[in-house]
Amino acid sequence: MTLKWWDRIFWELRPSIGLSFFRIFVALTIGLHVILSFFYLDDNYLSIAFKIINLSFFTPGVIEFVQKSPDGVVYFFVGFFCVTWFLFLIGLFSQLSCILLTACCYYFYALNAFHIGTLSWDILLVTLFLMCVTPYHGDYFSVDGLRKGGTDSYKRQRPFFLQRLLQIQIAATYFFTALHKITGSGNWLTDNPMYYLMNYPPEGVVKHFVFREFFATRPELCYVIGLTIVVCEILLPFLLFIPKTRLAAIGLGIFFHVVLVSTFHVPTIFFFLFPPQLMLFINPNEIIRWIEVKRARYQSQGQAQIIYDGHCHFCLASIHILQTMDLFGSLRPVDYHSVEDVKTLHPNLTKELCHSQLYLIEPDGALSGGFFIFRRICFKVPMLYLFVLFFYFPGASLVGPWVYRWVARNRYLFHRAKVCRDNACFR
Amino acid sequence: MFFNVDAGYGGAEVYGVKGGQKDLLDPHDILETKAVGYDNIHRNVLSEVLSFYHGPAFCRFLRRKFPEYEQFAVVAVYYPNVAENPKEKLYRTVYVCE
Repeated sequence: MTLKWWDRIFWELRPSIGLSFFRIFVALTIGLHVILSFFYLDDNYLSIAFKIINLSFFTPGVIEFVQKSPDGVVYFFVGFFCVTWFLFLIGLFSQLSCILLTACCYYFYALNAFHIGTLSWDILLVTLFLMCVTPYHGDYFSVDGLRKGGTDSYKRQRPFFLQRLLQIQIAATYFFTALHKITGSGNWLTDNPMYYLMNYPPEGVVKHFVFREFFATRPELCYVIGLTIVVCEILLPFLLFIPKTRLAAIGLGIFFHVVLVSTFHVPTIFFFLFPPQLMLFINPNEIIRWIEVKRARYQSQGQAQIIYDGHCHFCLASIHILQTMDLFGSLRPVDYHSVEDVKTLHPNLTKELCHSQLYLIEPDGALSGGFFIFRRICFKVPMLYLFVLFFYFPGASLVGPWVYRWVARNRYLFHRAKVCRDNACFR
Repeated sequence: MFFNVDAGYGGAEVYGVKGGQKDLLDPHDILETKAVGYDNIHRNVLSEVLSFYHGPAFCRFLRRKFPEYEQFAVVAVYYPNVAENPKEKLYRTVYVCE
């Protein structure tokens, strides 16, 4: 009985899509935290920097070893960090890049804890450490996911334990934060911390927000707000684990962080990591159900057709990647060789045109080709959302088609399919 | 994470001295590393330098960053009660970089 309960909580197979999405936010938070400190290497990490060491986190041996780093080693780690960070962000060799990135984070933390070494940085390292345990976060929204391929890769099933541990981490963070505020040296019950915070001098941690002066003159109201925060922090972990209250608790948690970030100078993690971590409480099976509904809607209301050359293996590989990216099933690939008369697809199409480049026929009959199909589909395919900026960058409509034509002309070079030895891919 | 917040508030100020003239240095010029979404100076990161133990290293750092000054004074600033007497501000020089 106990084993069954344990299995259900930690080992039940569930889709890993939420974890994959979360990986992007972990990478962004780490990047925003550390990369900015690289702009002032001489201030932060080189031998001439002012350093503070954290002996309550590292052993003296580790600190001594890292502090001996010559500047060349620091430069090496800066480069290594940037590479592993980027790989982790895009999800290429996700687990390995996560492990190496974590090692780099520990290195810089041991080198100088002055800027990055906050309590929230310690929390972030716990998250990153957990992410090192499995490669599940690379299943989707990643280059690893695209390499593995498969139109249903978005619902790949994995043991749930990693997502559960991340849930427990944030729930415990809220709970013990509240506990620390009302026990031991905490004074949120016995005094009025919110009132003092509202009256802090301008150089203090509270931002200048609209109602600050209003609160600064109302100690009773501040005390009630302080107690409300503590009560919310204590209740939130329980509300998050109860299915009926989960959505409201996620909303409350996100609202809490938005208010916190708008009114206090709090580290990046509060905005970039905690809200996405709260989203990990959404059951991945529910996410998949929502995706399936969207896919069914596209299938019933009409998908856009992508016309490609099925004799070109480079084109085939590209179409497979596009299908893997196409989370909502908004695209239907059509090999023009399988169609007797391509004019039945669209009156403006000919076999020669289809051979020269990809074409997109949208449900309303709009036809676009080459580079411009990416401009259309980047709004439909979630993994291409970020590329909207790239495809619509000023000048992209001039450079993009040129690059596309060059790739299309040389596509036979990009793979070793037998069919291309006969130049079948070549225009 | 604000476990214990009382009526007092403390921080650090750094002064550069040149020709007998004392200039308050902008902490953003001392610690130029930026953060996204918040100002780390407001997180009181500069108060770390108040430890006498960090004095020699911080003095070296200041001399490199602000070679135009002859001396530096690292001063602890304390507001005894931000709610009842927000204007009252006490100063104590912790160390001087000669």
